[in-house]
Amino acid sequence: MPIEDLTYRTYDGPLVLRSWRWWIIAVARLRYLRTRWWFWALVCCSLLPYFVVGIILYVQNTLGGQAPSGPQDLFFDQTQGQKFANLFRQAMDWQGLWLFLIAVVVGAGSIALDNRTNALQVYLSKPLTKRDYLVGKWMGIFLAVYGVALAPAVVFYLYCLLNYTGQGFLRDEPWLILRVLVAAAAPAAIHASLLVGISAWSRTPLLAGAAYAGLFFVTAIISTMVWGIATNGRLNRGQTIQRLSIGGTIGALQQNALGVTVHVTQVHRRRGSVQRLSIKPPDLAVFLPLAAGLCMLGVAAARVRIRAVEVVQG
Amino acid sequence: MIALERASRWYGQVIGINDVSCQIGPGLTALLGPNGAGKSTLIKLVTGQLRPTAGRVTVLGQAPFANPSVFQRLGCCPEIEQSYDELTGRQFVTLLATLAGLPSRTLSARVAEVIELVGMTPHADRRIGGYSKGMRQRIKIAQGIVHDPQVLILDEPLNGLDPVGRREVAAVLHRFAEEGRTVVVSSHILYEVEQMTSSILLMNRGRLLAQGDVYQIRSLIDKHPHHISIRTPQARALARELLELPFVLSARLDDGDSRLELETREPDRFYDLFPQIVLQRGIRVESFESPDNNLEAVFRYLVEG
Repeated sequence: MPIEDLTYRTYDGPLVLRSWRWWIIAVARLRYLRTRWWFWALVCCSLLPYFVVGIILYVQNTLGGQAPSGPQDLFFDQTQGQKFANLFRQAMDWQGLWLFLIAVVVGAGSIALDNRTNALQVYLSKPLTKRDYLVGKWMGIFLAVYGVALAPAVVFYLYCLLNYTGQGFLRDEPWLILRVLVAAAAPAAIHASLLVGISAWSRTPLLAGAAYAGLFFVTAIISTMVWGIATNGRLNRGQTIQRLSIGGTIGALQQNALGVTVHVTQVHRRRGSVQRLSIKPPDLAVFLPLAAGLCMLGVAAARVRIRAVEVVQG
Repeated sequence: MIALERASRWYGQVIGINDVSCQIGPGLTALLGPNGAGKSTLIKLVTGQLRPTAGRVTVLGQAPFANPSVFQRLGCCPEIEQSYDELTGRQFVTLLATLAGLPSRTLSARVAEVIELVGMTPHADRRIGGYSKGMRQRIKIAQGIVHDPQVLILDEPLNGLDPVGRREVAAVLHRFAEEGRTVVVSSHILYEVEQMTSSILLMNRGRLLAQGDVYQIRSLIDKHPHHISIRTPQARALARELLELPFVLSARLDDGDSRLELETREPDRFYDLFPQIVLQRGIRVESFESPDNNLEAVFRYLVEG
């Protein structure tokens, strides 16, 4: 229809100045993800660790009579009070890489794309503050990653609740669901904060994604190398050093949230001996401020960078 | 509705706009100037995306910077190219209408209404990534007017439009302005704007050179001769008659004596007398035009002196 034939019609309805304006930005990102096949492919991959843990739990339970209780058990740590928490820790540990990939594809372009296209001007010409915009972008990443981390964990929790209550699931670990809720939030918060910061300083999603991946893996490699040199590879020493990376910090927070002491077997080939080691949760006094610092750094970087306009430096 | 009082904005040592004072009322006003003139800075000041370094900017009586209550009554169509490519046109307008504060009960009807107004109904459910430049401009205008703002600011809205598209977009903006709203259209292409409005703000190097009706502005520039081109088979005879007028400075014959090029210092008096002269002498005039009556000339005079 040619538009000359139409007359302008005024809008007589109300306009509402919403207080949760950031929510609209966050939901827009989630709606966009909902229609992306690659997002769902990564989500499917990220569910696999819980399937594997569930299968092993089933097999272990079936063979339960043959295996001793305690840290020496056949498949999993059976230490009373952390048996199921350790299952969650294991699944979250395996899921970590998938969550990282999901965070990158969800978050790398969140602000970078707006920078490239100057779309901030469109957003910020609406009744929306810079803070609304930033919180919306942050929540868009956080909710996507948290949802992917939490959904299989909750399903697995229900599975345990239905099948293992008789084995002390609720009695021995009554606060486990709260611990799981907190542990699943750690990767979401750290990834979201750092990615909004990096994305805000980039003009292409590819560059932002590559920068974050570089940061993620380089910090992991450096911390592992320093730990290896400093402790001669002893698994129960230098945990703080070993975890001084993005992935390590996430793991440290999750282990603390779940309250799990990890029992591992270290084989000394030269000495021909086998040693059982206990790795306690890393020092929260180090990793909680570190995680908070990473989050604040990312958000502050984004806040400094986000402007509605290109500023010419004189 | 829009007022700037000695407003300046610097980016470090670079001047965006410098000591600009003006008022823009209801109707369609064009903001003109070459690239780097300060148009975008002025738009960003008015749309509250920049704070003036000095002076004052008010929109609808309030300072617009970071002021959501002004944004709610302000529509903005910035010059953006590729964006929101994954969204459909309808999703894009709906998202921004929600941000503008439209409640869910009126949202979809109003979105459909403005999409229809800009002629995008058949394409509303296609991805923006597949849109032509003209379609993108239209959908941007739709998001700008969806909340029925009192003030609408458009940065280069005619860029990339074909002539039909320009005419249609201009018609939409005219209709919007006729409702008593303030519409400001920035452009560096003068002939585009000339067809939309005669009310202009002319900027160069961060300064406001002129404001008002393009013809009034032109009449103020009397130190420059006004050029007039007349096509007639009796060019020589007409030249002889016209050169007797004291305010005609020169006459030149072109195109094998079929076109007469004149210069006058008093165009208004010339236009008053010219019909009488040609009627009395029975001179047939095939065409009559003044290249100095268009914006290009005004701009050239003001900028280049």
